[in-house]
Amino acid sequence: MQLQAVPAAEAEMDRIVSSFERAWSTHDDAALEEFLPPPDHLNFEAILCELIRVDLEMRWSRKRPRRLDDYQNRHPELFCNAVMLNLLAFEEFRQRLLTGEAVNPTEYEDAYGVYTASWPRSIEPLTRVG
Amino acid sequence: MFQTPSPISLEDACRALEDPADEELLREVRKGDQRAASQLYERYFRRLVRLTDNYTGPDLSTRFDAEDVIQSVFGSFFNQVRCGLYEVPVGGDLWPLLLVIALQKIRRYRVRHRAAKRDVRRECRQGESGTAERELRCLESADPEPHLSLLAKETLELMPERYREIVLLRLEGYEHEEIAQLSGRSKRSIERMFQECRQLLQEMIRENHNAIAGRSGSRSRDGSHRQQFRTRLVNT
Repeated sequence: MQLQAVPAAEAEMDRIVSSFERAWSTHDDAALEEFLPPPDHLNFEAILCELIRVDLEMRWSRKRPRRLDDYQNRHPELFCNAVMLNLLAFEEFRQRLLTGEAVNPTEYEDAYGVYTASWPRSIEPLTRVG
Repeated sequence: MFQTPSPISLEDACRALEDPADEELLREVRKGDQRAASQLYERYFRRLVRLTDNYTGPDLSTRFDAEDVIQSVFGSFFNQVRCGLYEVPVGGDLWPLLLVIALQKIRRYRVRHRAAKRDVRRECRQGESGTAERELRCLESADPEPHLSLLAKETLELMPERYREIVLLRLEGYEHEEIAQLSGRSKRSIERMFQECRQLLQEMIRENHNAIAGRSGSRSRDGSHRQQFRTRLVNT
């Protein structure tokens, strides 16, 4: 029996992120702000964080990088959340690493005060899948 | 087929009360503590050996031993832990996660084993041994892992539609990057969906454990339990 119900938070996030990815693949660019739910949405911060992570991947993999400071200027409220900040900092760090930049996690500790002890020190663990 | 889980001895129970929780050990492993890594290894080694023995069957046991699989499971697990990818749910343990990794590894070994068997058969065809060819064909046609196939099929059926495609591709041996390309998604999305899948599987395994533990209750209660879980998955 298939039951109809209000979609869970994960399903809604996936729909939004999927639309954003489609826009990227169609136009080779997309403004993540166009895909955001209203600011009073229950899951606003998590969705914004996920869209920024995907945006970072899209831009760095196309050699059109955008830095975390830029996102911070646009959405300063998100960067007040320590968990989100950690996720975003890690995402930029690994995108830089994947493009071959010699980047040190301490750079992120100094700039954003994030905890980086568990971050990889080289590209190898990022490209290896278990 | 399946082995009934052994009852926990008093000695094991006392040890469990003294030992640090998985969550704590995982935190220490992230800091580079080798002793914590060894403790996790010892905690799950025997259980993984039993699981691997159950799922490999006699034909595969001559090709590789359980310890090869387990080394590979822990290798992958610790690599991902060092990348900060795994978390233990509060009050939970790592068994559901290790179980999923182990099943993936066993499947890959099986795929490799089958490919090797095909090569051997090709060699037999070129040679004179018709009997050997017949024997190998017979061996190949018999599905040596019906319970694993059934488990994978049932689990996939319970999963929300959007996860099925990527899980199937993963089971086929594709890497995250290849799955992203094939499905037109970002690598980050594939990673996020697998994290959600793992949480679902952990929940599913926990529910099954609870159902087994509460089997002394009425059958109808088990049925409603399963139905509730199925409903949650469908709604996700």
